[in-house]
Amino acid sequence: VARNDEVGIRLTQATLRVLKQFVDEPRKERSGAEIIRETRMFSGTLYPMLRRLERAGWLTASWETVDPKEAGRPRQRFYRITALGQRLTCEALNEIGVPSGQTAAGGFAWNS
Amino acid sequence: MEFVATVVGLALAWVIGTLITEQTKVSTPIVASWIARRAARRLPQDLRVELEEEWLAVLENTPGPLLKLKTAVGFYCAIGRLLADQLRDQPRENPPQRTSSFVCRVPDFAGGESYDEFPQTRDGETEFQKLRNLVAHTSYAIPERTIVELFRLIEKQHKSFNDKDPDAN
Repeated sequence: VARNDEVGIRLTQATLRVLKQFVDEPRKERSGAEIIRETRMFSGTLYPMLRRLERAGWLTASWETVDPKEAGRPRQRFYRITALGQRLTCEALNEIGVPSGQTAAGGFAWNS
Repeated sequence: MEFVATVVGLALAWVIGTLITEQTKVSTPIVASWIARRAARRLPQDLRVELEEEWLAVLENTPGPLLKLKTAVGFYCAIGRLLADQLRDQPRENPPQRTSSFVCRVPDFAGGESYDEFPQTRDGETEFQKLRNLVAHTSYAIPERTIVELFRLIEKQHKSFNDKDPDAN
């Protein structure tokens, strides 16, 4: 699948695989390690993709609220899908006939 | 005797194998972190700070030494794409359309580049243009003061050239 949408994201199968994980559970925040585990994607492919999706406003990211010095480990960065990302992903998934996170009432799980 | 030698050999092999495995388990995460740090340091400052911490956290949460290593190598592979994306997103200064004027790429002293236009002379590229072009493309290695002096001489030469040939422009 390759499609150029209104915000210039090229939706490849790999991108849709990542986005589908987010759309299936739109409220869940995922770290990079979780996304790698869930999608079995190579980190070299995933990270440029995450940056692009974040810049295009499909995903939003926030840092874990811990002090790395106190915790003794680096902070994780959590990604979450935005309303725009969810809408456009659902549209793209519907276009190729993949059931997405859209609710039966026609609204998005994001808003429910 | 042969049996004893075989048993001792197997025991030795087991001990060495265990030592290597243990050593690999200990050192692989260190190597993986080192690779991730090296990868992040090849990125521009704004990306570097963010991604170094994030990538180290990803490695921390990745199970198994081999998977850690694979993930770290992936980070290294991501550099090219990340840099290309960042370059594409940066606003670019478009070079002016080539008209009858001579257009020359000139580095500025802040490390960027700008485009200068020079009048086109009757016989195409003049010595002035050639020299200025040469300086423009090699100036990174020449001290700023020398370039200023050189440009002053070139301007002088250009002026005298135009004075001799008023129809040049």
